[in-house]
Amino acid sequence: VIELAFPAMGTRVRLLAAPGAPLLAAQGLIEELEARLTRFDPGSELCRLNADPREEVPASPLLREAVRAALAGAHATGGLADPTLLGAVVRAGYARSLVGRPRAALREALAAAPGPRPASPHPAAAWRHVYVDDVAGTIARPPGIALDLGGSAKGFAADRAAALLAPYGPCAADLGGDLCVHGEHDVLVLDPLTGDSTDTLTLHNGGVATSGIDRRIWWGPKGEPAHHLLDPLTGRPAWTGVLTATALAPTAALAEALAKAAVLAGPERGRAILDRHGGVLFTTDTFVAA
Amino acid sequence: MTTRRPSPGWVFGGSLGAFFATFAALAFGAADDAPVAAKPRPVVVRRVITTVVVHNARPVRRVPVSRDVSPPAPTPAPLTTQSS
Repeated sequence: VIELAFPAMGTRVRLLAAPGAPLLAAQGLIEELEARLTRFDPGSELCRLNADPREEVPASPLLREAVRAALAGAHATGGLADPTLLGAVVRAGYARSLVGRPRAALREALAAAPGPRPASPHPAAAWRHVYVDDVAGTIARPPGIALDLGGSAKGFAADRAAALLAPYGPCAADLGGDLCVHGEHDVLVLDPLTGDSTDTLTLHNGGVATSGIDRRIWWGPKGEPAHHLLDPLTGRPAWTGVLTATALAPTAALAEALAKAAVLAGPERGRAILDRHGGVLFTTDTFVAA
Repeated sequence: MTTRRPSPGWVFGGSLGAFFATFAALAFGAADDAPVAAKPRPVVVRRVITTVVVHNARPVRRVPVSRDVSPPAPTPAPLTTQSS
């Protein structure tokens, strides 16, 4: 097994593959995806799409595929993993990258957070009005709808990178805990409070992803705790009683959507979401393996 | 005034007696000292503090050791999943 590790998409990337696999090509693909899909660079293709006043905008195949993956995640979760909440997440204080910025202590933030309440999809479901047209090579959306692929891009990139490495043998593409593997691999699930491994998931040709409120968490201007997983209904950080959710799925992109939805849905519905393919749910007082 | 000189026997005998008396005193005195145990001496431990001054030395260039066989590839760290 050979390994290549590098920073990208605001996290650490690890690529493991058989000797002879095109690790550098996979790295190049991930870096191109980051350049196209980031919302922190006004020159990225995603930012230009969001700023374009036209209803239908030409888009590269990579952007079209990434948007399609995000829409599939929204569909699979009934709109809980909603890629159209860019304005709300900026208003919540996540206007620029959190890399290098101080993080709120999780226990203190939880103590100051409102009582747990499950999140809900927005009834308007703006994501249903976003269309990807591969024949015309365009993306269409109503004026004012801005896309945020931060919740889906890492899983999508893991799937694409692993597909590039798979013809050479067993491989894994790990983007900060969102993984796609080919062959059989053990993946350790880490406790969000202690960092200790609590469970081992054995994957065979599939994806696993973890979403949670433990990493991208900060104090708002009024001293209120905030994080990046928003309730689509209210547009505010969702405090549901779930700290992190780890989801298994056939692809990392779907696993990422399911994991995010499980956090937003709260302990009861979150467990039902993870029951589809399996996973691990950490709540504020215990954890449940599904 | 008449001076009587002691006879040589008395002088010799007196000297001999004084010799034996001194000899006996010395012999018994040494015998009395022998059984007395020596007083323990206090042990003084002195700690020697050595101050080492480290100068900023230039890094030593390590010459790679040639190997006949390449080292085994390191085992990758386990895969983990956590929110990021």
